[in-house]
Amino acid sequence: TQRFLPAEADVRFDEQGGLRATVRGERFDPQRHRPGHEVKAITYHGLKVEQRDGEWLGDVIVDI
Amino acid sequence: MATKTLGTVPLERINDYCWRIPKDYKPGMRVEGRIYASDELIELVKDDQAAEQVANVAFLPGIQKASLAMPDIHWGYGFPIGGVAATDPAEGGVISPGGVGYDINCGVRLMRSNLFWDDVKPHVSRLVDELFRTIPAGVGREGNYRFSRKEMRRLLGDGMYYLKERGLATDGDIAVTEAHGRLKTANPDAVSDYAYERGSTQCGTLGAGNHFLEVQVVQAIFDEQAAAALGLKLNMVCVMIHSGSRGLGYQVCDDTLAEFRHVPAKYGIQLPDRQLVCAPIESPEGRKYLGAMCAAANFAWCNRQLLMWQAREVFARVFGRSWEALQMNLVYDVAHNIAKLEEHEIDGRKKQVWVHRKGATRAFPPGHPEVPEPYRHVGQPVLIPGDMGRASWVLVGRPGSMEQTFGTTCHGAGRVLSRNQAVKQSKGRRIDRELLGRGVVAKARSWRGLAEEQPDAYKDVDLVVEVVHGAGLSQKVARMRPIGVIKG
Repeated sequence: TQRFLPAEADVRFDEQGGLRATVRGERFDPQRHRPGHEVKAITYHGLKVEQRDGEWLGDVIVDI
Repeated sequence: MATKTLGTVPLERINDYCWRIPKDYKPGMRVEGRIYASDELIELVKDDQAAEQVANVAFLPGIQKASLAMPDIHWGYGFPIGGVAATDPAEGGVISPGGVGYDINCGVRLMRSNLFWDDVKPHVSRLVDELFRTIPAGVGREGNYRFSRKEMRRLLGDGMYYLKERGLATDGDIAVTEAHGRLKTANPDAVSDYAYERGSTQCGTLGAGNHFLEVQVVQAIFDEQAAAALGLKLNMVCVMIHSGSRGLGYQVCDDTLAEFRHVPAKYGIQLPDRQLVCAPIESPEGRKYLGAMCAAANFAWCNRQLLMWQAREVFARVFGRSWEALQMNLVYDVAHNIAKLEEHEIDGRKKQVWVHRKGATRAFPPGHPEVPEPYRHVGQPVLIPGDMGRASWVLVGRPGSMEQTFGTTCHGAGRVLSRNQAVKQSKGRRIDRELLGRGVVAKARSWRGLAEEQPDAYKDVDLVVEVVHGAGLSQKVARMRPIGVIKG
């Protein structure tokens, strides 16, 4: 997964609470890709997981 | 007494430069909070949760005197940026990775030269182009140096002394670097394989975000004696470098946060914010982090050394003389994201405490044994990077820092606009052309990088410096004007 840039993800949850995901992307190439940010941390600040209209919503603040 | 509240945090004005958060604000605070700020700067703190974070840090076991914040305070992970806390191992004191920061030993160095503004003026564009071409900057860029696993182990253990063996540092460089560019308490074996891997190609790279290499001119001198000791003269051309421990330090912090998740509970430590995770200094977990943190700090000193080394080579190429002939000597190198074991006088007793400085700079006063001999009569040099359109500052430590802040002062201007706000305000503008209008040649890997770092995104560094000068923490020596900037 080193220097791998994911572009699309297909995530499926199973009955047991596990998940399977297919992630597509390509290797990072500084000539073609222009990275915006290096993520510093996934913070706990204002972290929220709630059910809304039958769907789950997760809110995560990323420290850059 | 003047009082006010920031969000829900009560503040009492102690004097023109300092505000108190009373210890009874929240049950669990072991000491009071103190924020260094003028009336003007305290207004800029109100919109974020940094003041609350100052109060939260006061919960840490073993904390001494007060939970402190410098005038460039803003919101950070656990600790605020600008946060300072000293903990005593003998009183169950803890070490907290959030009190050091992700970029372990992020810091600044300044190199002088015998070139003056008139000598360099006709060559600025070419000089900046050459620096930009030579010095790797930006996300995901690899460096010009490679270190094997074995070599990395030496570098993490011996810091700049290892680079000297390799002919990439001199005794002169080592003499004027904080801790001589090597913390002996480093433990290279406490650093994960992944951190090694990330570091092996990144020593001597600038990185992204607010990191930079600037060509600067001494614009004004405020203390002739100190400037003379530091070898600084009006209109002299200098190079300032702001970078840290790159992916290696980041990985050490990230690994530790994961390992520390259940550590506070194990030792019965109650915290108001889980981002303040910590371990007793005298515990296997605490000792492991300290060993890894010190190794990452050594890496960061080597990183800034190799950045400076490449800058010397570029100057030599552009001006057709060796760097020695150009007298491109290091003035000082100082860390501003680190925890150090130091002796401080607390309630009339000398104690060994771990001083966390997260976005705060050590500022030892004249006479302190850790100030390099040529500067000992004027105080430790302090390097304060400002924004790329305005100025940076050179200060020296004052006795007030030992009395009030565990030998600490501010570290920079501090953001006023978030990165996203800054980008929004830059839509349709050419920040590089605006900077050129101000007399600064700027080159960056990404437009976004320049937009995020535009001068308006920062507090006026002069206001920040005014507070630490007025409070007696450090003293103004020289104001530096940027003429060339390279960034990620």
